[in-house]
Amino acid sequence: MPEEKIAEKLYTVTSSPHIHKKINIPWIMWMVFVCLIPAGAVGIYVHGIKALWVILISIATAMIAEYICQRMRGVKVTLSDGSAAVTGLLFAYCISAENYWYVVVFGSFFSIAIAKHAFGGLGMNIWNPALAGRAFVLASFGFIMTAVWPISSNIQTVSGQPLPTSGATPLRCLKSTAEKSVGLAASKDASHYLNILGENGKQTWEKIRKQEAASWKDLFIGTVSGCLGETSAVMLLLGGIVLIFYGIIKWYLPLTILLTTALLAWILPVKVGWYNPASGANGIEWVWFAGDPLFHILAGGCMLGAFFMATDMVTSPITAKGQIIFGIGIGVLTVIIRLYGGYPEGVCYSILLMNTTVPLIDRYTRPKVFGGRS
Amino acid sequence: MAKTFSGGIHPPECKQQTENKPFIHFPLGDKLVCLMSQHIGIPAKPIVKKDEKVKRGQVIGEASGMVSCFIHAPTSGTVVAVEPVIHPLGRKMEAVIIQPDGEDIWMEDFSKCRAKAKKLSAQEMLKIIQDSGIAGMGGATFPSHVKLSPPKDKVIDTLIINGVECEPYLTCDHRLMLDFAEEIIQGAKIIQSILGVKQIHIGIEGNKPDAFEKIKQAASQKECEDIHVHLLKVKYPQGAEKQLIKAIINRDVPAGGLPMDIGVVVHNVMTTYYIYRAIYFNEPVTERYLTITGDGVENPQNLRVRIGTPISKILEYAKLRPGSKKIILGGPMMGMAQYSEEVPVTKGTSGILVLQDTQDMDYKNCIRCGACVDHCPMRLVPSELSITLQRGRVDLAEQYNLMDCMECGVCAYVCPANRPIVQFVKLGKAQLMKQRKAKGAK
Ligand code: SF4
Ligand code: SF4
Repeated sequence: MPEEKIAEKLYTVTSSPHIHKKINIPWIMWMVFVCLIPAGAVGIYVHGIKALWVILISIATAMIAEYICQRMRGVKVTLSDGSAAVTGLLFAYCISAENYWYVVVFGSFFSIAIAKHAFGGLGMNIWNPALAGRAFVLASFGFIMTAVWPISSNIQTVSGQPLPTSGATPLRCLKSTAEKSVGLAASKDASHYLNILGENGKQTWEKIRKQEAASWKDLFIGTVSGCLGETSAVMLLLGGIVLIFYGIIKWYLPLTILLTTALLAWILPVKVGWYNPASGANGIEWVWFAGDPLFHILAGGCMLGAFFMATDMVTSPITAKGQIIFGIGIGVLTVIIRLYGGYPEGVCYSILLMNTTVPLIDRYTRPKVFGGRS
Repeated sequence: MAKTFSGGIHPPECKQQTENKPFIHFPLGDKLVCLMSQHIGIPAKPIVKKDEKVKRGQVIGEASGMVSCFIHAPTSGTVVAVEPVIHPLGRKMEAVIIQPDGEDIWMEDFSKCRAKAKKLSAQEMLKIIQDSGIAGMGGATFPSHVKLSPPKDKVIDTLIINGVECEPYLTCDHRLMLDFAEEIIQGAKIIQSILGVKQIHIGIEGNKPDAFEKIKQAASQKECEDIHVHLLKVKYPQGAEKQLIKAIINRDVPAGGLPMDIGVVVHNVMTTYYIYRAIYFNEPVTERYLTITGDGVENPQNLRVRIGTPISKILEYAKLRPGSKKIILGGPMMGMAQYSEEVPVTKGTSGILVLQDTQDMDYKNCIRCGACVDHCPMRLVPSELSITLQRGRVDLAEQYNLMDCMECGVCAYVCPANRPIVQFVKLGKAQLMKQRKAKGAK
């Protein structure tokens, strides 16, 4: 059949709709990036200029890794969409500022190459790449990651109280003090003991937080020891609120995480030792309702996790119902790890664990179709 | 709080270019192309031959079966050809091409019929509507007489007249309500008596307060106690049948079902208007009202156009800007893009939208942002549908309620990854239908 001429001039044919909302992936990613900057600035202030190096190395590695992987996979190179930059930044935020450069490079590279591209690139990964990178370096270079948390000696904390000389993070202090109290109560070493502990469990807890860990104020501003970008609750909150305002993240996910964490940290019992010098009585007790909810959501990676890690679109459930279940799961696991697990901090692993359950959550929270029977 | 449904979006309305412009009578021209398929269902059979003389309103295409429509000559003149031409759907389809003689003579004198309108029985009225070739003129083009004769086992208690016009850019329904409020009310009452329903609801979107007032006024006369006029929230797709029913009377059309399953029949205002014309004047559909608009034309207008007018003529009239890339029949959310400007106006052409730029065709992996899920008015998971269909898993997509998608385009509108979800869905549905047919044949 000869080619039939169909029309003089051909117009573009595409499927409907013919108009689109002015929103795209680069805009989302760069918004997340910008909203993370204030928290990083506090990190640099607290940890010194080396923190900036960690950030830069991490971002550069992530972007190079992205380039290499996309070339190898033969797909379009999308460095400008900002997703690799965000992963690099997030990875830097959840490791110690005092790090060997190669640890940063390893972790950041792992985040992009293994946690993201080995699964098929943006949109296909199961785990949050930055957190997967952190888990990887923690497993490979554990001594660096957990042993030292130094911060600049010339930093003034907001509350005026000196920073712990050991450089231990507030959560670590909390955990080790509780553990210590158990030992001390048994030894009846009153002289040392009374410095730390009161005469019953509840007092004990309050004291530990105030004297040994950090004040709410410091936690809020970020002048405490911890991972590079996780310490400043206020800056993370600020960034998170901007993201919520622009509809990039949903308010209910961070809120469920924070609420669940606070509630359980307050309720769940902690094992502490007590000693009464007057009567000479001592004991080890599980104290209920003794936790400090605010401390738990301000300390450690809770804010960073709730606003920037758990909300990663790719690795969180797609429906509101799913996100709430996901958020509760993260809160529960975080508190369990913090209070009873081997690590003082549990946000990273809780999110990774819950990431794994996302396909399952999605499956059971699929919305009921309009007019469908339940 | 204005009534509405769950989900949906607020695209820019872009109606201001034409919403204040009264209808202009578009000239006849020298060629009218009457497609035999202007409705959903079986195409009509041409019953005129080349060189035959026809008069306006004369049947030139005969309905084949129940779900089909008569096609009438839009003016008087000579049949110059009966041949396949490009249909808005893209294929070539049978059409009768008429060269107008300029006289525009009607088949019958319609002025006499008016008096007997009130005395007609429901059956007689149905017959007239069928003979007038009325099909859903909001764009769906489902033959109206079929909608008006529900099966015996369905009890219809509510009639809803759809004056929402939620598609951006389009304003012809809006103008029609302003110009013919009373006629529309009369049309609604005709439908009411045919169906034997008590309640009539008229839904109008909140961005047309003037039309709302006009219709309300027209409905406030005596014998109109059962007519309720609602101003609805401005949200797309407020005019989709199921969403409209939900908003006005809070009933859910069952998934996979029709409005009549819950006792409702919905008609568009323009259809209602033509039903009025058919009953009162015995006048078949030979013209329609439409909007020509978009940034690709200099002179956007609301027009009264003969069926069969080639789009190219209207584009010429509206001063097509050079470099315009897209011509869309219908609105921007659900309209069909045309490759040729030779397609003619049909009964379902609610608008001609000309756009200067085309969208980026490049799309990414779904980043699971959830926007499509949040906004889908059918509460589907469009991301999942598009991913499974991209992989060719029509069977899985079917489980994910593929067939419940109404192709409203909301998901693709909000998607930051620019995924052509509606395209996947359309292809998937076609494949599924084919599979079902193949299974049925076995
Ligand atoms: S096109 Fe289909 S899937 Fe997309 S929003 Fe509309 S009904 Fe939902
Ligand atoms: S809107 Fe697009 S990117 Fe977002 S979940 Fe839906 S399909 Fe995926």
